[in-house]
Amino acid sequence: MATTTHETPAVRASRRLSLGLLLLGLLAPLVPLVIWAVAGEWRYPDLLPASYSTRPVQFLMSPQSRVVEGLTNSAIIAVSVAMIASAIGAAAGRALGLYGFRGKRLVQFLLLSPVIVPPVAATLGIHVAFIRLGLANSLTGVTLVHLIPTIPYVTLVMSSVYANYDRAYEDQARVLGASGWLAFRRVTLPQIFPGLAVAGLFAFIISWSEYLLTLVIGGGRVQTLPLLLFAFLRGNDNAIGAVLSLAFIAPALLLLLVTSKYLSGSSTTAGFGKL
Amino acid sequence: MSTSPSLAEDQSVREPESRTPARARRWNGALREPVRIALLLSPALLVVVVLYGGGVALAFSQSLGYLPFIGQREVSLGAYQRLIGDQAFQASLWLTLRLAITSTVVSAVLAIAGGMLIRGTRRGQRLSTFLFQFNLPMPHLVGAAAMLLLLSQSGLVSRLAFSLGIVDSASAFPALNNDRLGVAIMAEYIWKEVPFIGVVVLAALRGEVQPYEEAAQVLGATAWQRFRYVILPLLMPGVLSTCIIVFAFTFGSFEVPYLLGQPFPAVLPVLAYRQYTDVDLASRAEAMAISFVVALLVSVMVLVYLRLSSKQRRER
Amino acid sequence: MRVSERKRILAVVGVMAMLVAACSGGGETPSDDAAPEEADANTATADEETGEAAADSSGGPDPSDWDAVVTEADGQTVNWFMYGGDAGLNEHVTGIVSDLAAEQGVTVNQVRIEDTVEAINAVLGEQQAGVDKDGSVDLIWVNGENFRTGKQADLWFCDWAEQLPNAEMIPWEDPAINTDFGTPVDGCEAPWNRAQSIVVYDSEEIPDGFASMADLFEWIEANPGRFTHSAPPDFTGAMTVRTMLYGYLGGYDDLTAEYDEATFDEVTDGFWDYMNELKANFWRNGETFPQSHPEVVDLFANDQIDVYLTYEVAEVVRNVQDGVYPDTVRGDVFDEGGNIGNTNYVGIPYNSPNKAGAMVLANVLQSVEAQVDKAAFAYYPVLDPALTDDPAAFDVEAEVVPPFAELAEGAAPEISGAWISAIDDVWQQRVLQQ
Repeated sequence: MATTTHETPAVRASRRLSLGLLLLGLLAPLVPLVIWAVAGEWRYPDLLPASYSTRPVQFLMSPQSRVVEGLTNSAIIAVSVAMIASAIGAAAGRALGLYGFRGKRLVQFLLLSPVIVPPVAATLGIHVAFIRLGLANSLTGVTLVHLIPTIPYVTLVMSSVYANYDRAYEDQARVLGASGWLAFRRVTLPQIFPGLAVAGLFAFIISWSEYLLTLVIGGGRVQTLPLLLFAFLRGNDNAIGAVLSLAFIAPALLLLLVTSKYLSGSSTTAGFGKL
Repeated sequence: MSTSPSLAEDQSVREPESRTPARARRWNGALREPVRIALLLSPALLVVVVLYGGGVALAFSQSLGYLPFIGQREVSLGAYQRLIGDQAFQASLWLTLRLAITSTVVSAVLAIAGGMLIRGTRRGQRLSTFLFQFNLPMPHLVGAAAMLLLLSQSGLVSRLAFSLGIVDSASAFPALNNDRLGVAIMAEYIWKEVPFIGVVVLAALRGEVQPYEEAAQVLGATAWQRFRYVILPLLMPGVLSTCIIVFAFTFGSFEVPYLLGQPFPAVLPVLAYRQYTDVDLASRAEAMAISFVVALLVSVMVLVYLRLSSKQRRER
Repeated sequence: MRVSERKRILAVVGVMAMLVAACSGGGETPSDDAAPEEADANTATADEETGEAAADSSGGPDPSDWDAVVTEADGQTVNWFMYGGDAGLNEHVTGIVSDLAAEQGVTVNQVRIEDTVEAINAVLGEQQAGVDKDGSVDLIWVNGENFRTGKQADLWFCDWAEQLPNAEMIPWEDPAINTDFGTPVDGCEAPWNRAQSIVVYDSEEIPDGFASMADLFEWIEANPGRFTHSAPPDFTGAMTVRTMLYGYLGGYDDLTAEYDEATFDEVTDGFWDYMNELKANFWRNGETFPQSHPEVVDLFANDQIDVYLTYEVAEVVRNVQDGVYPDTVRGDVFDEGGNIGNTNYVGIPYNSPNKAGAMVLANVLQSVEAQVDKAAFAYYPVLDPALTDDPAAFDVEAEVVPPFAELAEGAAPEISGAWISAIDDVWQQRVLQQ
């Protein structure tokens, strides 16, 4: 690049050093997680564990740890949320991306407010209504509240997908006699699919990582991975907390691999701010 | 297309419907367009307005002690009055503000620095970009776990300091979690938000900044001048908008300070949750008041920022 | 060029653009609260329509007809809310207790919580919202302040505990069983475990242990930074503060008076000043306190503190066994008494839909098998071994900690919930927030 052409070696070295330090700062915190995950006995001040063990991993498999239950709940909730939020968000995104109408800004404002305004008020506020409606302490209730942070996000991504969307193909298909559904499946869906997949994956991860909403609405009855992880961390069970953390980030890493291509190519970024 | 700092505005005011050819509209004839739009929007609006808006409204009404369906009909500002006089609330408010502002500012500075550094490297740029963005999808709770194992007095850094002979016991290592400053909390936020802001910085540096910078270079601007007068102004709108998201998030974040912070003072969302789970039901009004204040403060700050920035844009 | 540029710009600010666009409508955009108000109306109406009239549910299974209870319980799942930070008891519950309950067709769903208050609060929330049947909580591990709160709010299903079949082996005439922190039990909760607080230290460093609280106070002053406790209202931390209060006052007699603010201030005033002075010698100069008891355990394991108090004898035994603590670590009571002991109970919320199952589970908890199982990990029995067929089964080898009989001798009782609440609150104001 133009800017680097007349750099002295000293400048280049210090530039490399600073970058190295910054990257180290960002990645080093993950190191103890990995070590703790396989640590047996690791007392202060040993720099490395005195012994290694698979106990934490085994513990996680045992029914006593409730991890399997947490994993199942997390997966059920996150998959449902991703599917529902994708459908609802894609519809809203189409309306916002393709059409101009009165009150559009108001709608955008409304749909985006959950992205900005912290969730604590809405969560505590809605709890009493959920209790009365029998939705508290259930998977259904938790799934429902997880739609709050995910739908705005999917809408956001999908409206920018639709803003760049060419309706000519869809129209042509209709002109040639395709039914609405056929046109959607064969023409629309392939066009919006990459965006939709990324948005859905994000919705999955947002739901997968959600703590406060699950804690309040699930009332302790709906145990998910974040709740379990929190309990182990509070209980200062470092080894188990570390293993669970690693299990917890697996889908996130998958997301990074899938989206790294799109990271600078689409509007996925806002979702990361919600994680 | 203009590439002034009002990019964001330009992008948004583009009216996409103008591209919809008139003949296409006929094929939607079965449903009139307004109906179609309403149908498309209604599920999303239903969730957001009823669940989210309803939740905030219920929080507000409970903060006033008004909950008609369980027979509470008296309205009072008592909870808010108690908050104003409450030393613990004030301490929480300042702590929350300080943590959010510091973390946001430091993250932005580091993100810009990181973006510039990465742009300047020739070899390994792809790898450094990947590593720079590695934390993006990590859940905050995992970040908190990492900080706990890294920064606590018996954490890895402390062990390292011990083995280098810097400290002679865990207690001699400075307290970085459950501490007055909230170091571990800020570290977690920064760890997570630098890559987030960094995405925006990197994309801008690769995109619209380049031609302007080249022009400035041709005109003889020094590296610092190019950064200060060309790059930074071009980066700012995107970075500031992202900072708003970061600030709002850190201001309302619960689990990270709950795990890494002090019992007193605790950040506002934690304080609200504690009041909410107090067995004294009278505390619930206060819990709602605190959480409503959090929502209100963030909304006001965002609106003020948007006003100021759009005014600034108009003045240019 | 233009298209690709556009795409790139979209890449940078697509999201932000929408955000700014959506929010900067400013003038025309109706104010923030307009929409929520509308939503409020919607939600409230929805609630009024679906909210069932609060029916009272005084009826529950009758424990005197135990066969009927067992029949009704068959197939029920009991949501047992319990403090989840005790690894030994978690193992007990998911192990033998679940197995024994399963034999009677009852499934145990252990709901681990951080603090019992969460369970009480959940039931209170349901009561407030008018959910008087089909509550989400069937059984709560409870005692003391939380039991009293529940009793005051009529949260408990009552008159069942003394009629469980296994209640025969329980010394119900003992005030340590029939009153809970001074509140009469009245058949609203069934005992299942006994806890005795101990002082934990390394006999290598402190060979003689501590004769009294006064002895410990002296030691704290002489060894700054080596003692702490979790911040009340954490259960163990609150107990530590009370033990220190007993020690400061030289007994608990003054604390057994009927609670009122004036008496409280009179009795405790000097204590708070003393605590503020003493805490300078605590871990981190008393500027902060650990949030939870496991953090205290961690500090001890990492040699950041030398002494702490715990309610959980088993934790010390286990940690020595597992090598988390050195072999020389001991737990003991003060020679001159003053260590608090208490009984753990289980209570059934009035709106539980699985009361029969909950009773069967409570009865399982009191069974000899279950009580012997947990005694082996130093969780003390509520049964009187003499009333069982095999008293010797309860004898446990004790090396790290003296046997229960020795610990329990001269144990101090818990004081009433009103006093405890006040101590927790004033501690927050006068010690933590100073």
